[in-house]
Amino acid sequence: MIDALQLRDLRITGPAGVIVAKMDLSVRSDETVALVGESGCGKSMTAKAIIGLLPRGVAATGTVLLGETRVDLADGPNAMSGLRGRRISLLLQNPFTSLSPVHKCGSQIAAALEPSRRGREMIASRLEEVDLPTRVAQQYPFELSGGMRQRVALAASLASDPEVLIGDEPTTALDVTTQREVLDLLHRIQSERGMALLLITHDLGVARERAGRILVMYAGRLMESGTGADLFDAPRHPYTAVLRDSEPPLEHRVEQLRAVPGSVPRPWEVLAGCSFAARCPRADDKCRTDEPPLEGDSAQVACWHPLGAGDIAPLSVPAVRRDIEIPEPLVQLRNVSKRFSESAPPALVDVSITIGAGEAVGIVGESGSGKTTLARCLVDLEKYDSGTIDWSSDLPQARRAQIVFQDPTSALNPAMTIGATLSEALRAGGRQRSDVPGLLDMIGLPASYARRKPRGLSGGEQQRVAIARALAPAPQLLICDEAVSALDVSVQAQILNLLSELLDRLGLALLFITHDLAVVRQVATRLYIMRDGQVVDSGDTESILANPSHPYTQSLLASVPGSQAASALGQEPRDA
Amino acid sequence: MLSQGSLLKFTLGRLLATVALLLAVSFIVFTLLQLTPGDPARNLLGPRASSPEALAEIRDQYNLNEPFVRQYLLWLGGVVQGDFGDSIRSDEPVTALLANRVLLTMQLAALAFVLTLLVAVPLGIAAAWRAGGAIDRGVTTGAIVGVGAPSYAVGLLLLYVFGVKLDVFPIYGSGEGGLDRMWHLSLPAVTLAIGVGALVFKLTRTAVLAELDQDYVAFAQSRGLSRRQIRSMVLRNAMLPIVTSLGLVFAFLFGGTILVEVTFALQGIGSLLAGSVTFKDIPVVQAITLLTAAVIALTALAVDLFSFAADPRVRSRAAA
Repeated sequence: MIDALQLRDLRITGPAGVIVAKMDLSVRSDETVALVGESGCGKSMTAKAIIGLLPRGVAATGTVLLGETRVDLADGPNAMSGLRGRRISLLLQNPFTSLSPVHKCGSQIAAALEPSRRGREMIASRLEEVDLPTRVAQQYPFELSGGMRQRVALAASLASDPEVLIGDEPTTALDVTTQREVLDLLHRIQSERGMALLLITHDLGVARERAGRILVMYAGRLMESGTGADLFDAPRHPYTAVLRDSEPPLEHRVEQLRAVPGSVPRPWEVLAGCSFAARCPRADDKCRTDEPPLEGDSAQVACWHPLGAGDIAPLSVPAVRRDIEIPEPLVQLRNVSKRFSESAPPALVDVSITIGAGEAVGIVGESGSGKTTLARCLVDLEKYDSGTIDWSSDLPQARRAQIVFQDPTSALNPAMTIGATLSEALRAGGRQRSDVPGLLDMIGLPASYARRKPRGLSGGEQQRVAIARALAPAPQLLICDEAVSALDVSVQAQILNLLSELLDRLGLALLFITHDLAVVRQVATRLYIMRDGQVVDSGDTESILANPSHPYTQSLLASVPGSQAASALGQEPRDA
Repeated sequence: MLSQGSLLKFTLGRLLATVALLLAVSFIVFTLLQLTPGDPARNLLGPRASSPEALAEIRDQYNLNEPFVRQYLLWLGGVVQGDFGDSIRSDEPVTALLANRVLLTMQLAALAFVLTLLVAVPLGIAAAWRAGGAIDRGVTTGAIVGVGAPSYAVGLLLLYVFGVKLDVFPIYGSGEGGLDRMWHLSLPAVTLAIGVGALVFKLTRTAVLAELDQDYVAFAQSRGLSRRQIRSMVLRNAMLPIVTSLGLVFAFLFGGTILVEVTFALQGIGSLLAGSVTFKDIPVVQAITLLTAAVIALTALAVDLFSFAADPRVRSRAAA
């Protein structure tokens, strides 16, 4: 079968230098190919280059083949303009911004249709294809949930019946249960239409579950390609192995995640050799001077010292199960309720939660579950309407609980040096500013970082600083509100390891708030599952996740991409 | 969906808020008389001989012997019927004094506003559409000069070039009748429009650029929508911030004509206000202040109603 999409020798250059180089890929019209990599690896830029929509100041060379049609990317963005929509289309990550807020959904779907085909029945049938009722045509995007908006966007991107669809993280902004529904829908449409689907994702689980072939990118280069089984069971590139091992397993807790130090370099900072050499345990002088070519037939790898069968450490070993003793309660919430406005649904309904001294407790919920409101109530950022929060100690607020937020870039004051930020937090707990080097050491950063501004730090380093700031007043409880969700998986593993080390060392209690069951399993001994402001399930982590009894917990577990429950389910994608 | 009920509710709510605002302003304006140093009666009497009879008469006319709150209510009752009392300077009723001048200032502000709308908004859109291009760089540079140049200097320059040297526009007075009036108001209106037009240009350019940067534009391009379709989508979204800024500009124009009126010797409310403040002609100052506040409040009301009609999110919030 002829390839629906072929990309040959793509090279993307930006103001700072090369962003992507020597990139080849092909997708047949009956398959899904996944392009995976961490942020900044160039996967989204590759999508933009293929469709001819690179940002200002960024240029590409190379060839795109759509069936028989050949486009030379060096001819600029206009070369693709007649083909966009009709031959190839792009579905973006964020359904909250990818539709015009002041136009009705029906007209946005119809916009790409020929004027003569913009009738009501046509739009209704397009909505039906993505499992939406006809009334959605008359609604505005803000009246719909994220999942419904992404369905509208999908219908819009398919309006001119393209042969190739590129999904750029199309489900990343969605809740896990919605993500499964939209992925199922994409799969169904891809096979019904016989359309080539290039799925760009940072999530290995999604790639493995949904794609026949997977391409792994790192710092603007292809590292390895193969089937999901090739890459997961016998990764040949050390980076693929790192990616695989950094992903916390859903099935069990591990003693420590296998993390590599450092973070992804900018592609243009790699001057010579293999771009992973700086972080690779197997790298030698050749790796640092000569770039390895991508070799192989169906499964390809670009590495001078690929892993062989004997080199691969077995996938993370389960940790010895610890007995759970219920410690003295540190804080008890009883029947806490909160409503933001009369017209809105309640944020918290009769929530009762206990956190013991030195205990790691997880709260799992999707967006709108009330988990963040709960955290904000605990640190006095939000007032609750009724119920009680009882602390076992009379310490001031700063010494009781501190919080770490999801996005470290916006949580740190960009105008203050790290040292100033930390000494301010130390003062809040009545400690000396001379403790700053000690704090930095505790989170694994050199003391010289005190003079830097947040801008000069990577995302992972910024989140370390945010953790240090939270620990500065020596609180009894550390609250992490989706604190690793925005991080790349290799960095996430570092931070998770750091957290468990800090818990052991400092004996502090942790409230870990997340949507990610696999992550919470590595961290928390007890879990509360929240939905629509209520605690619907609770218990110790192992028994909840090993034998889920509550239907909502079961559906959350089944929705995790790549999980055993999901792969049992995923063979026959259900029609949502 | 625009339901009749929610439109009515929204309009009534906004109208009530506007009335409440104007009442609050009227109270502050009324206390101007009390806050002015000296005996209110003597202040109102102005330069006239302050015989005990004259003072008694003035006290009687302005209800100065009544309790404070009653004084305010009686004054407000007059104001609602268009009676602001008499000008201290000219002894004429304030309303008669204002009538012609308000019309002139309104015409001046409206002409400047239309010029701004017709020139600055399209230029802002064109500049944003080809950001970094020739139009963008040229007009952006011009706009910096426009924002920075004081209106009396621009006015004098225009007068010198077009009035004196080229002799194509009148240099003095406000003209008679429709076309002649417009002829006379052209240079002052251009002077006003250069200042606010530069501002509107920058705001329009920023608003359109912000929309062009949105995901929905990239998504529309990736679906193969035509340039025309994308442009109309972007303008429909950018219209909301642009109209909000235009509302502010109109209110500013109406209250900001003083320098231009003085430069071009126009008998509008700006120059009247300047004279009246110097002369402590309190009834006139009160009337002009309240009038300006009313224009500003009504403009804000119009902008609110526009965003209700144009933005489905505002409608849904109003219905909630």
